[in-house]
Amino acid sequence: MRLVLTSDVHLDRTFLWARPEVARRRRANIRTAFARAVTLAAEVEADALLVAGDLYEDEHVTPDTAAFLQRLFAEAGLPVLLAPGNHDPATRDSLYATTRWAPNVHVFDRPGLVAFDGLGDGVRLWGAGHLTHAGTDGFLRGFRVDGTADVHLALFHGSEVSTIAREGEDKDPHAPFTPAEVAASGLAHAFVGHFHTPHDGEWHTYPGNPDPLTFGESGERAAVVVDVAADGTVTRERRVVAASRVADVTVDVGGAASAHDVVAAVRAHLPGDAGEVRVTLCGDLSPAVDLDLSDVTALSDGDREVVVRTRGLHVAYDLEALAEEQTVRGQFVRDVASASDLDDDERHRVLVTGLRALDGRTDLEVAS
Amino acid sequence: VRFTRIEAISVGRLADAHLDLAPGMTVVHGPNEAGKSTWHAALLAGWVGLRRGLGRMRGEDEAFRDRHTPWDGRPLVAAVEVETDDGVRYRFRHNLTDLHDHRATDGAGSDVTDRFVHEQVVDGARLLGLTRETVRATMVVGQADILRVAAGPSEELTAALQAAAATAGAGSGTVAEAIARIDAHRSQHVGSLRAGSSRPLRVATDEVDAARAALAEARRAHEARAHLRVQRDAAASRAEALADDLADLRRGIAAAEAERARTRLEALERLAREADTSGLATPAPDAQRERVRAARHAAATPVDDGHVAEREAEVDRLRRELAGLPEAPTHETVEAPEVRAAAEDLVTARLRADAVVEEAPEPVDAPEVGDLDAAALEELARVLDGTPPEVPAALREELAAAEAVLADRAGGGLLTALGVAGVLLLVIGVVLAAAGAVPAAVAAAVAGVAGLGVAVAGRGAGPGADAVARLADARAQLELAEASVRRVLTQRAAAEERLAAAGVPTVDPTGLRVLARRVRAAAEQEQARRSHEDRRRERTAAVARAEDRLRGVLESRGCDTDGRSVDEVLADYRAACERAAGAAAGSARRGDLEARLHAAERELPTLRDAAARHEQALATLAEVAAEVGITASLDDPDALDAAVAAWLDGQRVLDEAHAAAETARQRLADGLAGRTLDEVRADVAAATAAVGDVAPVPDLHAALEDLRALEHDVREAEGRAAELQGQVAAFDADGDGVAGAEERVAAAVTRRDRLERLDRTLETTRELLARAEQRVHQDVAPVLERAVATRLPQLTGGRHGDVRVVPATLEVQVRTEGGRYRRAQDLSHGTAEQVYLLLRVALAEHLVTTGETAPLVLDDPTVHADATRTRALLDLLRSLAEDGRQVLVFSQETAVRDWAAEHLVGDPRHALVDLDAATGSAVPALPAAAAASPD
Repeated sequence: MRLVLTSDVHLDRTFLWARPEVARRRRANIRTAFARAVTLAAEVEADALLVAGDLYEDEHVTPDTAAFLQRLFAEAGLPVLLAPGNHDPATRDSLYATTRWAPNVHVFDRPGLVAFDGLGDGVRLWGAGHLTHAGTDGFLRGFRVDGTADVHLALFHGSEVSTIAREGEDKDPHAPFTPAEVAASGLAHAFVGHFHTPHDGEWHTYPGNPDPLTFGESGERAAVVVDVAADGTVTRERRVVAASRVADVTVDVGGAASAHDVVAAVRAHLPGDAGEVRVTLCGDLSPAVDLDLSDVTALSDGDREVVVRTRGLHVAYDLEALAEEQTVRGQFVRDVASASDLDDDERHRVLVTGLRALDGRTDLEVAS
Repeated sequence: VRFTRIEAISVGRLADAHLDLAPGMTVVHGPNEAGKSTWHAALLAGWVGLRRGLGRMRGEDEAFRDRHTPWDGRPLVAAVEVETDDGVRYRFRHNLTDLHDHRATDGAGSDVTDRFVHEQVVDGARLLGLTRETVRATMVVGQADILRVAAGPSEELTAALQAAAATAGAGSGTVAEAIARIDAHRSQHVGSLRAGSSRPLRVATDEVDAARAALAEARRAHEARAHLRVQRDAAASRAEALADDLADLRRGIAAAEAERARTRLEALERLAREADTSGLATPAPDAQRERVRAARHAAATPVDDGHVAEREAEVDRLRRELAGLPEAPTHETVEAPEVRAAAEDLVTARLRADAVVEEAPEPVDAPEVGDLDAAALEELARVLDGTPPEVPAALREELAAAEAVLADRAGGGLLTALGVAGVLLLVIGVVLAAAGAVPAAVAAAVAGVAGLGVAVAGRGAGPGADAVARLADARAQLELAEASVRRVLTQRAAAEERLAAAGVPTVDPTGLRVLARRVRAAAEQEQARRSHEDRRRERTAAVARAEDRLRGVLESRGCDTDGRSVDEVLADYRAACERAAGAAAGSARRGDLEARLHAAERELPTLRDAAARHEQALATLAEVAAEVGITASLDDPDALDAAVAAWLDGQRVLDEAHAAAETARQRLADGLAGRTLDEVRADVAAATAAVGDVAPVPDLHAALEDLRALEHDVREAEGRAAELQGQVAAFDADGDGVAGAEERVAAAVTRRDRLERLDRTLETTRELLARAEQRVHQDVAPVLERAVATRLPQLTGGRHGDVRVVPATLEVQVRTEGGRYRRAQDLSHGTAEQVYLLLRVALAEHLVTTGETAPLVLDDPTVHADATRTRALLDLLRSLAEDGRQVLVFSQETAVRDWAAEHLVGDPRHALVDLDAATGSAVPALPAAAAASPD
């Protein structure tokens, strides 16, 4: 038996850092990536497409997305099994409930694992769905498979306990489970969503989001082609389906003598094929440089979006020497350094602003 | 700190040249282009070098390097040797062409570069706690500085002090100017939050509010849309369900209509068959049928010979019956009521008499008891019942004891005798009383009591009185007991004698009581028997009286009773009544029989005529029947009539068949409505095929009603679904929805936050700058006051002796001779510039943080001054030098050289250096006299 697994698609996600047109493009890319996963399922002649939750974000989802999914699934040509997650719980007014799905679509809209025997070949798939945004208990607690199937599989959206800390899950994990619970319940394998970092465990598989959702994600943005052997063992192959090309670059602009130099340095670091690039500026910048971050974001064009931030970017004043001065400037530097009500970023901005003002400059806003 | 040597290793046109400097005041003089600026540059380049900061070199540094780099391509290299106030020597060397090439060594030649690196390059100003940026403004006084104070606006002195206090010359202007820049930036790039403002922060805040409002609306729309979708789906589902119901109903109706069409077709086909007259015969003409019908009617009269014969036999029978009828009876035909009553009374009397006989009691044998009755027997039984009584032994013992006591007492005498007699009398009285002799008993008792009384009284008087009384009492009781026993025994004996006399064989009380019950029963039975006998006799008499009464009644009805029992007479009477009644009934039928006889006799001729006419009619019928093909014999009129009737029926059926066919043709034509039957068949076949196996609705009429209602419901549901879909579509046209709205809010918040952050930063910067300025000015003001105050009287010839510095502005005010304070810059130019120099020195001294004395370097400070002001200024400088501060004056002024030649040459603390106009190098030092200007 062959399955194609995906999860955490997050259709209609917001991209708060992006301009409206870029955000729309990213949302379109998510659709494209998911459509590629569906197409992949047909291409590899999969027996079913599994979606392990967070297919969309219900606080943002649009009717257009509903229509998109309705048609995509109707034309998929294979069973589509959906397990709602915490971002798309199967509420009364959810898309799951209000969309007229094609007969090949099956939604696991119960909070406990329910058997699906439509896969044939002696395989029974157990699925469950979240009904609320939070507070869903683990589906595997006290669960034990039944039936005469040779292989039992599971599909749901949940937090593998040992991964919670690494993924930064909050205090109230969503539908937690352990690999031991998978084994003890009689399941051969669990296909799960929630964590966005792809992970192939012995007892479970996290496919990860198919299209980048944030900068700095690790792992391939892919769908997983799963071959299930007669004894329940799984073989997994990841096929990249991402449509967005996202890059994260750090540029040390310490050698720049002017904003122009900064922009040139950033331009030199931009990857050629990235659609969205997050540029992190760092380094000790010459005090003479009048840097406005919009100079960097201006590198954006129709095909590429540049987002800029600073991390460890400082204006390289010799504050130690300045602080020794008996001048107003020296006193100012000392006062700023000792001002307890300022955080480091604000302290830095105040210092640079004051020193620039004393230096007769009018570029008083400090890039940060 | 003081400079001991300047080395122009390769600076401008100087190469490997050096200039030794005096510890006090050194005047370096040369005409224009003689190299003063080059040596000045070599001093600064060798001492502090240029910063090797990040990125490209600053413009002013680059210009400095370009201006002084040798033309022949050699690097710009200079060095300076210095000595601290403590006598420690250092050498600083800088290659400004290669900023990495810099070095500091101490007097022993050891590398101490690291101690002086500032911004990656050795900076000799660090000896003073200054930097290469601040040292110029602190130590170096240019001709422009002097000129600005001396000839510029009156605020220049204060501004210069403020600027120096602000950044020691490293910055641009004063703190106030810096704050003004901040305010301007804030105004331009942040602005007010005041409502209606068009400044950036207000606009950004409004954008946030607008974006949030739009987001709230988008979320509301999102929720409403979700709700609408649920409603729409429900409405659509209902519409679909209703549509399905409608379709089902329509199919059912179509099936029903197809079925009805089939039925109609069947009816049409039946009509077609009915309209087909090809198999029918042609009916006989109406006239012929009328003749047949009339002939049959004529022959149909029910007259025949048998009927005439029956009527004739009836006449005979009636005549015979009339002849045999009895005469009218004379005896009464019904039993007379009085006879019936008397007879019934007799029957009743007899029944009652018979009943008495049946009630006769059975005779009972009475026992032989003589004259005793049951009560006497029971009394005797009572007397004989029980055990005969005995006298109690205790009485006898008590009497014996009393007698013994009395005997023991002598002298009992008369009293005892009286007592005994009294007792005896009393006993007698008792016995008499028991025997029924009451008067005698009373008399005896009274006498006894009296005797006892006397005895007792006497015994009471004497010693034996008690014994006598007790004896008398005992004897009386004993006598009473014995008398009672005797009386009972006497009664029993009397009873036994009575029984024997009556012949009763037993004296046993129980047997006597049984015998008494038998005697009583026999007496009661005898009483019953006598009573029955009385009733029997009475009822027998009643029977006799009833018989007499009946007999009398019968006789009164004429019956002969003589010698016959009354029952026989009654039976005869009743039989006579029955006979009379039968005769009376026969006599009563006569009238009727006579009327029937007359009627029959009158009818016979008519019947005979009718029979003849019937014969004729039959013949006619046979003839007419033959005309229409009926062959039947006159011998069997019924068969003929039946054949004719069948023929007529056949004609009627034939007429009806033709009429029915015509009717069918009409109905068929109506039913086909201009179409052919085949066309209708084709339509029905098509309709039947179309509905398939759908079950027809049971009630088409009701179904059509339902159909209209359902169509209405479907239209309503579809309309509702469409309406909701329209509303959903209106929401769906809402662009990028909540996500876009959230992103617009985020963008607006980011913009606003940036401005708010900038606002806070600018405000904080402003506050901290103002605070720092205030603190520094408060520190500097006293320093400046002291510096000026010590020399002001000297500078002003005693006109001004007191000075004060306003901390807020660093404004220097001097007190005039009139006691008023006036601003220092309002003094004469010469005085003002001297005060300025004092302030610069004081400020430099304040800014130096290492305790070293900062040298003072002046570049043509007197170029615009007259001779007097020049000398005054140079005198002040020498005074400062003589106070321990190294003063270097680069000048092109001849007056300055002359002054130096006059005041410095010859003094080892000072020096005059003349530069060779051609080479820029220092010419050898001249003796003091020779150094004087030629004129």
